Amino acid sequence: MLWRHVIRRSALGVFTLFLISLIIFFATNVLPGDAARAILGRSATPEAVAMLKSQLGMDRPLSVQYLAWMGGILHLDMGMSFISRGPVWDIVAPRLMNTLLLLAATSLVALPVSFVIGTVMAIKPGRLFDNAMNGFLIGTAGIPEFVIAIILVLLLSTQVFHLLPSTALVPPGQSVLENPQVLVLPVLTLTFAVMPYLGRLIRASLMDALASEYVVTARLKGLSPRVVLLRHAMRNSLVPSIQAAALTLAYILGGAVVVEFIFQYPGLGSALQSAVAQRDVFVIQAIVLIFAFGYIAFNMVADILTILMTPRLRS
Amino acid sequence: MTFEIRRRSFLKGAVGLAAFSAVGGLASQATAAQTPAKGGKLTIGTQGQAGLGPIDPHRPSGDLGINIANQFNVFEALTKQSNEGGIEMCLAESVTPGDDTATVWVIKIKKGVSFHNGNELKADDVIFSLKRIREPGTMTGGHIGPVKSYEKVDNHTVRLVLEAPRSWFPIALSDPYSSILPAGYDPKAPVGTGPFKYGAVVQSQSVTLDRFDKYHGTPALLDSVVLRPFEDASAMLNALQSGQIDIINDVDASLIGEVEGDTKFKVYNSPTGKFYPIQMRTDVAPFNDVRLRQALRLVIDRQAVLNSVYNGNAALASDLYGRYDPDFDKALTRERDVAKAKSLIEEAGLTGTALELVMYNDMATALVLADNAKEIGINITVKQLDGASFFNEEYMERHFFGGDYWPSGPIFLISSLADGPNAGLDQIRWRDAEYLDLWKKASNTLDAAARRDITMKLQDILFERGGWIIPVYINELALCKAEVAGLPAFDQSGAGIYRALPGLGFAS
Repeated sequence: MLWRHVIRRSALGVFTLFLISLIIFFATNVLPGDAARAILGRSATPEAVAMLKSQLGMDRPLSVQYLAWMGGILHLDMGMSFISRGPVWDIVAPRLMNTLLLLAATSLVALPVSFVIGTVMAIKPGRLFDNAMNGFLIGTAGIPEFVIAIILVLLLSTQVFHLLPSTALVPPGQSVLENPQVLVLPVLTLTFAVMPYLGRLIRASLMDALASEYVVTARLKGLSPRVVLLRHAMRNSLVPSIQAAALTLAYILGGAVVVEFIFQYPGLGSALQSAVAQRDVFVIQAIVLIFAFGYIAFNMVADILTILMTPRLRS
Repeated sequence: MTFEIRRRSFLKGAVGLAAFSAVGGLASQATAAQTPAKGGKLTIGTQGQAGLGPIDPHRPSGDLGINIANQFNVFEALTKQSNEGGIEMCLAESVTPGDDTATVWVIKIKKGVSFHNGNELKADDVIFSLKRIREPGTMTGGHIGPVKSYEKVDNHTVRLVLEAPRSWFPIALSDPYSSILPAGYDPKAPVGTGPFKYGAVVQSQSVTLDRFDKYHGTPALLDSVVLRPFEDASAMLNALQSGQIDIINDVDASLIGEVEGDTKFKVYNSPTGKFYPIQMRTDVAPFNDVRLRQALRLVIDRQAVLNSVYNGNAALASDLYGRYDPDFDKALTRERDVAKAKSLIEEAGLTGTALELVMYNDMATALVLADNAKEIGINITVKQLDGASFFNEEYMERHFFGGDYWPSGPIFLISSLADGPNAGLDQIRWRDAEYLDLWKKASNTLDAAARRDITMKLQDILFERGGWIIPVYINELALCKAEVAGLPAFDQSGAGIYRALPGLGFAS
């Protein structure tokens, strides 16, 4: 049952990815201008453009270009970048690592913090902490990420305190891991961006569970509040939390574009931004497909976990 | 009216004074108080497309990694424009006419110049490079024009026979994109002759230049220079303020205020000859009517462009290029004259004409023009495009557009690309017979004084009926950490920071 579900979802996922690649490819080509012209700039005389296009293989019909790219993908070859003239994978791989690092670091901070905050709020609803935190979370929920980023930069980097680097400039030849300080502001920004949603969702689902009849029964049985909370209420409230966490991770993967841009973080988001500006079609394809893949994968994992944790669905 | 004029001349004076004090003040501060020490790593932030392509110094103009290298840092040309605008020798020892036809030129190459790979610069390298510059699709082939023969006289002498006379041939070799490469140049192992050599190039992230110790001139002071492309100007400013980068290059005038009065930073502000022309195609209606072109030139409020678009960090222009060419005609100035512009439009029967102006950057200038043009009954709608869209199929065909940048440079360097015979970027389709005849005559005239007279006449024609609106020359602005020393007082080129890199360092 579970396996059949996984296989069906995977097949659907692959089909979705195919559709996305088709849409991205043709949508990018509908954009005015192309990579050859972006490269040549003002030296884009008709002869120069024609020459460069044939060098880049852009003079072939779109369908032929797409099929050639598709053929490559089946051999795990993502094609060549028009701009760097090197393999797309060489551009995408280090950036994927950096974005995954940002994702991992953000989840390590945002998930536990949201979980603890949501739980504490749910245990004593209506009390000072709950009310204050609720106000804070609703307040921050309304602030766009880039505003949070600007506030954090002003506060911690450029104006008030000079504690952290304002942009994620990694020295040439070094990795983000060797310069963990550059992660702090992006992680904080993303944490503030997802915490309102996650924290309040965890609070709500735990409160639902705590108000349910089985919890009342457990309490009446004389179980200690700890056991009631951990074994009965929390376990049941985990399902929506996992769904929310998965959605959040998928969101961070794709939504990191803005944050990466602001902090010049060398991840997929900023690479996507410059690839679009320069119409570097296959780099755009690769990155969007990675985002889409992540989205599908996170949701699938969440589904599987949900099934595993819900006896009703397991059987 | 009198008040208007007085106010304007007052403003002009005030702006001039401000520019003088900014440049002069900075110069004395930078040069007298601080001497750059040897060593150190300087990080420069610049705004632009982060994607870096193969290193082909003769081709794309937008690639940041090539741009910094071509400003006489990694690659050098045979001749070079000085900070003041004249021509000086660089890799050439001399460039002299071989006869009196202005088609034969003898280039003597400086001896003892070493490429970064250890090979010596020789005639073969120069011939290879000049041929490469002449290939289709390069930026600067039009300066030299077609070449009949390349002859290696000896290891350090090249004799060229050109198809068409180029009395100003030393100027034609001075474009930074006419750099000299080793024969058989390989973009994967890019070597030049400059004071810096390429270090690590990290795609979309950074370009490192390392000092080349066997440089043929005065060696650079810095150990290395790291160029960081930024997509976002405010991130760049943040990086400067948090101390991650030392200079931000080519900044928008609006950023200057952000660090003004802060002693941790200083401003590099140099007048230049660079400009963003608004171009009008002279072969299609309605722009083939010179009265429309002149009316738009008369109605645009240059002072408003200078003040509101560039916060005063620019200088008034009169639609002419080559501001720092020794033969530039400073006497040709244009005052705003709405009444005259209006009567020209009425005379041409163009009142109520609607025009579409397509812009790349420099949107604000276009809006000033559109606003001004309403006063003479011309309705301009402005459309803005990004780089990839702007340089599309229509790039060479548009009737009315602006925003792409022209560097500062000698008159013939610009005109051979823009309005001379067979110019490669002749979007304005300039076919003025009198002008082209005079142009050829100037290119035939080796005598400098005689050529100067013709050059003056060429400028008269462009002033009276040209296809470009050049409202202002834009200053080069950069923000630097206070400890960056060795900045020049003035560099007309518009690439002053890049060109100064070999002499820059941190204050000792």
